[in-house]
Amino acid sequence: MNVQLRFWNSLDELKQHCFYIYRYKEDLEKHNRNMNMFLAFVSNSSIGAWIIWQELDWLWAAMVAISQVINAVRPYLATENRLKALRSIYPEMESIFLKYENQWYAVSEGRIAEDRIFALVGEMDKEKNQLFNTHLEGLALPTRESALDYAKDAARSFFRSRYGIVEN
Amino acid sequence: MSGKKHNDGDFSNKGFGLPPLEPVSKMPPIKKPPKPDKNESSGGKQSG
Repeated sequence: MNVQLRFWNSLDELKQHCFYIYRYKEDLEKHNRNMNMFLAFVSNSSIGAWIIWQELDWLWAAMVAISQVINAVRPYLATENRLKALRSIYPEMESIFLKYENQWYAVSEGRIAEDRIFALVGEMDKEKNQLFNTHLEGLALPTRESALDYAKDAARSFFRSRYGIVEN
Repeated sequence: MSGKKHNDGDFSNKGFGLPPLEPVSKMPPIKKPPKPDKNESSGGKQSG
């Protein structure tokens, strides 16, 4: 494969990964926000005093019990740790993309030798993997289909508007 | 096996971590890069 094409494809994949991480993080933020709202609702004493709970006391008791379980296990939930990691990964991954995108002009104009372009591709992959391994520290990140679909569409739009090119 | 979804309908068992992705864009026009300069690989050390 042409080494410039390899550089371009790595850049393309890196941008898709940026969008993937962004969407993954947003989904987990939403999940986290909903959980916080539930916990705030149940722990609010004035809401607990509503007359309706006299009729539905079993429901209120169940909600209180669930909130206590959530509070107890929350620090150990993988979702919490994933969210923390993704909050750090996303901005750093965008920085890596910008760093290598800035090299694209010189690469495309033939101003950088083939062996140097090949080395740049290796450095890009290495930086991305290091970033991921450092922040996730062995924590699994299951593939999220909705985030993948979003990443592909967003990257297509990005390259179309930035470089005026037709997608594959 | 690939593409099989878990109960929440969003996770798949394709893998964990960053999934490899096909390119979604065509490479813009390029110019050929220069071939490596063989004289450059002499190390650049100067005597003296």
